[in-house]
Amino acid sequence: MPIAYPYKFSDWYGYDKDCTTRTSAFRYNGTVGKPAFECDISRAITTQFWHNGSLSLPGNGDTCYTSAAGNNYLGNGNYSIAGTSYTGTPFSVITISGGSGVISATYSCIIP
Amino acid sequence: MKILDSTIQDYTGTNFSVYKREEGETIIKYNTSGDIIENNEMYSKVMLGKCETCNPFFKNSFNGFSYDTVLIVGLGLGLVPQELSEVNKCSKIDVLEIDQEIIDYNISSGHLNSDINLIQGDIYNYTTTETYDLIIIDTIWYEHEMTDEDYGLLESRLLPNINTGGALYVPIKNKFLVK
Repeated sequence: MPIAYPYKFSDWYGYDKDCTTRTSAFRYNGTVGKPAFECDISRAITTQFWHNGSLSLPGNGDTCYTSAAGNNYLGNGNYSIAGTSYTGTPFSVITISGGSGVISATYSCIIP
Repeated sequence: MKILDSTIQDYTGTNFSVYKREEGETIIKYNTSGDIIENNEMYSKVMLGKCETCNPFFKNSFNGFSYDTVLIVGLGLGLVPQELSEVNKCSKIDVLEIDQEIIDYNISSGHLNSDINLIQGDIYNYTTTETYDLIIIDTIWYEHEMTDEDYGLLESRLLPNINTGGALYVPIKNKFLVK
């Protein structure tokens, strides 16, 4: 319901206390194979997705979405991802399982 | 190597499906796990350390290592055995696959070279008197799917089947044991 001015006392209780912003990242438009090999495979990592993690790229336990709002979870599978849109090898490969967009494993492609 | 997509038959079965993506690339998808393997030329290249920019473990493992007889455990679409046949011209290429449905599919599809021998069996029980220069274990997607205990068991079982100077290779676990 739209808030009218001046504010009423009840407006302060009605705000969305759970509101969080999602971070945007990019993935190859499809699931991929074995993470250990995917780091060496160049792909168009140009499909945008969103996650609720605190870093620029999502990690274990973060939830991934296909939209900036709503519960449109990224489906199960492995995804080659990066922080920006480009064609090349990924920064990491994430594994989503369980059906609610949650990352169960992350394979970093950055060799220390 | 990438197998010509038009030569790979589509298939919908009990344990897996084989189909084309929108771009025409063939994938095999395992029904239980949802895991996939794509018919991508890099799959066998990376595994066999054939690209300059590859993960150093894969590349360095094969640096100076030569082989002619190979046992591959795990078939999928047969990308690795096909590379060993077409490109490496290996004299013996045996493939051990636990799932008879995958063997039947590959035979029916007919996209693999005839010098690739397909054998049904479980690597944890399989016994043979054959020896090889290289044994590749390509049955897992993730490192946690093979415990160190599992690997130790395979190592002790398979070492007698590896020629001196040959190797046991489990790429997903970063294991390359030279005998």
